[in-house]
Amino acid sequence: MNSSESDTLPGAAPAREQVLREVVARLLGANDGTDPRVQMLAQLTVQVLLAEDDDGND
Amino acid sequence: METTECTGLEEVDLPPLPEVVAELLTMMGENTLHGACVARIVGRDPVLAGATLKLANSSFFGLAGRVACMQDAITLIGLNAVRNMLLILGMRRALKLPPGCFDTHAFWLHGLETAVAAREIARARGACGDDAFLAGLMHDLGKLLIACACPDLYARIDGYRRAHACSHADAEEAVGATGHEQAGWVLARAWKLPDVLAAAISRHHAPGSDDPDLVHVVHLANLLAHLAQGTDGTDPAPRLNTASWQRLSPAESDLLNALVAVRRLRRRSGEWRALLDQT
Repeated sequence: MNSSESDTLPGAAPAREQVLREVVARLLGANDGTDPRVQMLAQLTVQVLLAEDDDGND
Repeated sequence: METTECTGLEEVDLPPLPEVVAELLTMMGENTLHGACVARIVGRDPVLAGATLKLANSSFFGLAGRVACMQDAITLIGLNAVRNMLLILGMRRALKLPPGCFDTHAFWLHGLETAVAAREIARARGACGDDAFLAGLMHDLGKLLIACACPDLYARIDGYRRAHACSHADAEEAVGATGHEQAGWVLARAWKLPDVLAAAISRHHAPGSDDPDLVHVVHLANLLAHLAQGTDGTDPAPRLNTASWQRLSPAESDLLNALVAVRRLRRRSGEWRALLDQT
């Protein structure tokens, strides 16, 4: 899945976010990463994982 | 799907559905499941009763030493939690696995994660979510049957999946094996599980437009549970089914809630592993 600057989640460390995007892209397996529905699922998953990072840093 | 091996699952000596599980499912189907009934059913099975109390007193629930009888367990940790523990323990008892060929912890953790996601999605659609939870918990039952009946084949499927970083279903197809959906259907029929539950077990990867909502809910929940593996995930998701997305039209907020619920459960997977080891 492609990541663009406009997709970057507010406040997220870009490197960490990029790692998570790659992790989620792997977990999507044979799903079509250009499918908007799949992109939405990936984006939400990254969002949840990043939020956990924030919780852990509190 | 072409099958070249282990196709005769109907001829395998299928394990009977444990009596406790059968009674629980019947009562759930009739909406007559009450604490006193569960306590009475489990009371007839000392091994299961002991294991359930052990679980209830485990660190998982933070009630160590406080749960003295089945009625206490139901009062303190809830009827649904006790029911779910009994279903897992009953199915584990029925399907004895050869040592080393199957990651039981990962299997039940994924079942629980799918169950939690399915319940969230179902609730967002106005359902109570209990049926969805149960279907999510049991959706991969066919994997257990294949691992029990054909352990060498299961090991080949799992080996292929790991080597090619593909989904379990794709690995089954690649090695020409009976799919776990088909195996699950065989077991669901033998156990006379409710039709809707059998449908979720046998068609959760590619529900059709005629399938009931529950099958589509389990499909999406399964996908979310795979994604929620996060950085420690090694099991890629199956393909998103267009018919399921069209049927459910999930809101972003509902998907987010389901993912958060699964991650919350996953953060406690260490406790869950310890809990399973104790039984």
